[in-house]
Amino acid sequence: MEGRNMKVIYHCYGGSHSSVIAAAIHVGIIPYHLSPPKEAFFSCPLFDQCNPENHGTIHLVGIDEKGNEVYSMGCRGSFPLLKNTMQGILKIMRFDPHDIYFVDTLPYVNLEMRIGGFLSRQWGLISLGRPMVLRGSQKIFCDLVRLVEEVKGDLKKG
Amino acid sequence: MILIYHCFGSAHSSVVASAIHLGMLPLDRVPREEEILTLPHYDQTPREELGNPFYVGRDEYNWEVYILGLVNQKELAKRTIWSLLKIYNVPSHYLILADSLKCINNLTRLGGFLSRRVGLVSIGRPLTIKGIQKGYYPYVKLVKQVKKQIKERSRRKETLILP
Repeated sequence: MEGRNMKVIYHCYGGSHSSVIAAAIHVGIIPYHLSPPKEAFFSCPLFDQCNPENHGTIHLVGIDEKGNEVYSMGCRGSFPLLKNTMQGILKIMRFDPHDIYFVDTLPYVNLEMRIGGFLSRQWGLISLGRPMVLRGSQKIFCDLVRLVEEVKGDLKKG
Repeated sequence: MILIYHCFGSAHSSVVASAIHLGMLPLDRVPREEEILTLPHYDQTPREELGNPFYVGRDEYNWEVYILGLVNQKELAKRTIWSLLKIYNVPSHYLILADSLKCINNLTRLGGFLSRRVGLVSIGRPLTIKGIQKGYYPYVKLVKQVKKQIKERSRRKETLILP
């Protein structure tokens, strides 16, 4: 649909790594280069920052070139529940629940990110976990770029 | 304005609290078995519907009353709801989330587990009803607290409209 602005929510387990990277690629915070330097990931808002206390909160990452709002979110494995709730609440408030496009980035997460993310976010062992997360993030970067391109294609189709 | 009673499975405690709120169950006596059993949504919600709010009715203050099951993720889901409202610029006084799970006793909890989770409806359902009859007044107390909150909000709204 032309001219209809959507809200794109990239979601994963903790809302700290794969979802924020994908959202940052989407709005152009990280350029579409092949395997960016590790420092580039720190320009993503909230990269390796969210704690269990912010799980569930929807964070605005930016607005893309078409005017779509792009968000990141950690669903802690309860996405089916939260999706029902979000769509239900929007219906109650007389908004169109189809305004939101959900993108799951969890299938792209590799073992290094999982373990590193857990160490850094759950246990607070940042010095141990963060380098692992960064290495893992570099490895899946191309997959996330492809995902974002698919999402943008879908948004264009409406 | 929206009021949501939320609990674990939107099958028992939120159904009872919303029914008291809307006058479908009495305030001054413990309801009979068939009064509870015939409530819409009572011991009904299937697992895949969890997280979905259901409309129950409109109260005397013109608030829409809903029930919602958030499993054991209420803190997570509440953060999602409040941040979603912020994104859509809905003022926070527009919604009240009332936790009815804190009214539940172990008998209703056990019955609910047997009926909804295990599928033993014939054993679980009567237990949930017995549990609610045994510990009915905490629900009445919760509804009275919520109505007080609603009254205060309506009064504040009136003072806002006055010149």
